[in-house]
Amino acid sequence: MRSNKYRKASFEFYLGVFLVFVFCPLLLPGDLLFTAPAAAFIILIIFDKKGIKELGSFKFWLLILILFFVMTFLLNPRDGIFLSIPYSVSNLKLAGQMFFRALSIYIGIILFTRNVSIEELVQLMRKMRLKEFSTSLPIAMNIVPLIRKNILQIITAFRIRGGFRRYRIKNFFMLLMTIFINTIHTAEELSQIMTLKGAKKVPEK
Amino acid sequence: MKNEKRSSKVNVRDTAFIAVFGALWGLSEILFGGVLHSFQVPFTGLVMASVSILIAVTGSSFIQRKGSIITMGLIASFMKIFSIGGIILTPVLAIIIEAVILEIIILIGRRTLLSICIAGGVTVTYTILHRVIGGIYFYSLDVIQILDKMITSASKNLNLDLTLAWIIMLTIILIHFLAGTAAGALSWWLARKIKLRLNYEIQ
Repeated sequence: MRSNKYRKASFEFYLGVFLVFVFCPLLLPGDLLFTAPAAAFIILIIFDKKGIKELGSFKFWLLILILFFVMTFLLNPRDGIFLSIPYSVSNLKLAGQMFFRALSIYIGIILFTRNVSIEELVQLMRKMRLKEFSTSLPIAMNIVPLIRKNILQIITAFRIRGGFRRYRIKNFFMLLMTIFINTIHTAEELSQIMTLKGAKKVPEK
Repeated sequence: MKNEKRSSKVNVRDTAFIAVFGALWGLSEILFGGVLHSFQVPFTGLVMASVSILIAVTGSSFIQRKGSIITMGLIASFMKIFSIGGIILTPVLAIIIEAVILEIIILIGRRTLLSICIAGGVTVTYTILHRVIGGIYFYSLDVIQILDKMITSASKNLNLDLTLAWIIMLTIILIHFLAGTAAGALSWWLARKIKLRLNYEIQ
């Protein structure tokens, strides 16, 4: 996936670009948030034109935009009127902010993942003396789908066996315990794989 | 794991546990945080902080390393950045500060039930203070304005008259502290139960 064309640009540069994409939408005031995706799009065109293909179709983003704005007709307080249909002005503003933020973060992620490998990210964090964090963060980011899938499986199995119909508190604790035990198993498996890959020896249980 | 003191040295197993529990914490923040804020559920901060305590304390009891809760908090806050919810900067800071408070109190109290309960109580109570500090620094609001808003919404939720402002404020603090204490106690109990079930050494 990595484009060879821009390999000369330093990793720190891409980290800077990524931080701008991610932190600008966080720090910009709500009224100026529409500038974040515009700036992100221009930077994407300048540095990685091919990345535009990964943005998805125009129809997809239009659908997301419509979904965000349809919600404003369903939520309270309904303090505005559009074609005699009441809608929420404050939620419309919030929907716009969420859409612009999502778009700029998405563009930032495309640019970053297309040009920077996870090994480089780890190396930079090691330079910053964040050795532990540098190893844990990429693992955490990659393990999220697995944890999500496991939790959904546990909840489905739980529902099939009766869910919370009887002994609600007891069953809630059992569900919590199952989720934690499953997470611990995942962590144990992961540590075994990491040890096999040549990391330091794991202390005995 | 047996007879091993908590140290600042890094090993593979600890790294894996920190990563997995950090991811779980981040996932809960993204999913629950977004949903609770969207539906404007009362005491969202209390619920989120309690869930965080449950995950962080239970997870850290399997890790033999100082500063594990802070690292988990950093991972969770980094993941929270990618949440598309309305306002993100204040929750991101709240996660980091909560992790630091939890870690410091648990470290000082040497991981006893009492220290975990106090850490939970203080962490959840901090969410009230965070709302005030966040309001002042990020939204340029007045302290009186923030407290007024907080007391008005709490009086609605608790069904109390607005003239009893002091009682409402004290009730909010007490509810937060008790919820945090309960979350701490639950996480301690949960960690013990899991260790028994998985044949881990109980400390």
